[in-house]
Formats: sequence, structure tokens, C-alpha cells
Amino acid sequence: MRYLLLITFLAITITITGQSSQGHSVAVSVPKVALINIEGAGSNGIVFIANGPAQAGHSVSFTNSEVSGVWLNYSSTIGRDKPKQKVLATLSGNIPKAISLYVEAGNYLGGGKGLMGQTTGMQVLSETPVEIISQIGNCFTGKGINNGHLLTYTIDLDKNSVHTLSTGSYENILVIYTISE
Amino acid sequence: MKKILVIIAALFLTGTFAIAQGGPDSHEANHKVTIKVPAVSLVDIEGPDGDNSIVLAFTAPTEAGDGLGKPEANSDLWLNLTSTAKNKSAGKIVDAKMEGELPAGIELKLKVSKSTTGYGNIGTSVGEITLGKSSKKVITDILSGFTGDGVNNGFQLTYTLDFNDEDYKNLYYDDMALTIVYTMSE
Repeated sequence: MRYLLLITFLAITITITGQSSQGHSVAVSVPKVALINIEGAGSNGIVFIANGPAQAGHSVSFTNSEVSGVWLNYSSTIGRDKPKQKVLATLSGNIPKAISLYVEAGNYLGGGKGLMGQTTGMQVLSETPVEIISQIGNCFTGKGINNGHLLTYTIDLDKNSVHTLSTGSYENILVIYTISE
Repeated sequence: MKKILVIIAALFLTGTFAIAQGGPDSHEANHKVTIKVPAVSLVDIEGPDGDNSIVLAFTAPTEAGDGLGKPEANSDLWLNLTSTAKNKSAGKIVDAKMEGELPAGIELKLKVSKSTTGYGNIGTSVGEITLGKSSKKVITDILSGFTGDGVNNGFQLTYTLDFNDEDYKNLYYDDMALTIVYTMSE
């Protein structure tokens, strides 16, 4: 029994002197990111032009009722167990009552990486924000045209409200895009 | 407690010498001198201003559509060591392991540079390794030697984060706390 005790002591001593450890901390941080940009709109933005009819009795109509060419780029990081991000579109400025403006985000295309958002299809624009892209995770779309989501605007004229149209140019109509949780 | 154990062990080991003393006087006398070299395995991580914690921060993009920027490599820390080895020791090692979790796609790499300071056999760096939960050798062939104490002494440590964009979806915003543990052993 005494021998057994002695052996135990020696073994403990060896363990104490035979090894030494030292630790230090490393923090790896990933910042929160919510960035959005429009590419390809040019300085004039999107222009819809209505023409008068060739024959009396017909309504004015738009030569280009559907316009695309603007791309939505974004970068996003979300928290673990936090909601995914979305893109909202809001219309600002005076738009004739007879006209409805729609926007549709296309499916993601381009050279980005990560979990891209999903289009919600065609949405009518108004002063109330409407979700056009949902379920954005940790990702970046790539920059510039042909990266991200192609936006297609569609204009619609309500014949029953034509009396609200007046000749002229309706400028300063803005579509504002925001990315948020 | 540690001291008591060491003393008990020392008493046991030196007890035999005491019995061998004595004998008749003659024209010659001698006495024994015992020189003891303790077993030493000390390793320490030193950083500027006494702080050995580091931060590896991804940088946020400034333009929508761009990805996060990879953290810059960090070479702030130094590994100091002091060692004594048994005669004919095959050489001691320092190994390193990572405690904590990193998301899939992120790899933490460690490069241990050659020491330009110190005396004796302070060992040889194995170069760069990818840190993981299991220990990996970073310095080998350590015998008896010491590096000097503090920053700019011993082995400079360079940490690099590698990130695979294919795993970007796993890159949640977060502060991840890791501990890197260095151990010297036979």
C-alpha cells in the first residue's frame, strides 16, 4: 500500500513539471451590413412617354408601357436567428391619379455569393412601402448592371380617371428602395 | 499542494545520498556536490502593452453589391519559452489548438516564424498550420534553452483568416470568441 502511494506521488510530480500551457483570446468579428444601390438608371431615370391617339375618340396611350434596364445591387449580413432582410419600394412625388406604376424585381442574376433574396413578383407602387424582394440572407449581389435583380416598371392608364390627366411632364417622381430586417 | 508533493518526492530521491556519507578519516577527504537542474517547460504568449488578446475583423463594404473585406493578418503576438530537457531527449514540442467555434468556410491559420532571439535549443517552427480543435505541432525539437521575455523575443505569431466565398451564406454578423491554447510537452 505504501509503494502504491509513492508511485502515485511521483506520477503527479511528473505531470506538473512536464507540461505547460498558455492560452490567449482571438475575437473574430463580422459587421452588420445593409447596403443597397441602383445601377443603370442613367441621369434621366426611367421615362414613360404618352402619345396622343391618331384618331379622335381614342385615348392617349403609352408607347413604352414596360421599361427595364435598372438593376438593384445589395450587400447584406444578418444575425444568427435574426430575421432575413427585405427590400421595400416607396413612391414619392405627384403622380396623376389615372396612372398606376408597377415594379417587378427579376430573379437574381450575377457574380455575387451567398443567400440572395426572392422576388415577390409585380407590385403596385404607392406612398406605402411595398416588399419587392424578401428572404435576403448573408450575401452580396455583385456590382453594376447584370448583377442583382433587374427591375421592370410597368405603367397603366385607368380610362375612368383620364379626366385627371393634364398635358405636361410629371417629373420628380422618385422610387425609393430600402433594405432592412 | 504542488510544493508539498515536490518536497516529498525530493526527500525520497535525496534520502539515499545521506546514508552513503561517513567512513574513516584519511589523507584524502571528499564530499559530494549535487547540482540539480529542474525540469522546466514554460510557454507564454506576449502582446503589446501586456495584452495578448487580438481581434480579426471583417470589414463592411462601402458599396452595395460588394462582399465583406477579409480581416488583415495579425502579427502582434510573440511566443516565449523556457525549457530544460533530459539528456538524450528526443526534443520537446509546442502544440496549439483552438477552443471555440468558427462558421463553415472560415479557417484560422497560424504561422510561427523562426526565432531570432534566445539561447540554447529553443526549437524549430513547423511553418503555417490551420488551427483546429485537435492539437497540432507548431514548434519541435526543443531541448534546453530560452527565448527571452516579452514582445520581439522568441517566435512571432501571425494569424490569418481564410474565407471561402462559396460559404458566404454562413457569414452572419457576430463577434466570435476563440481561445488559442499553446502547450509545451515532451
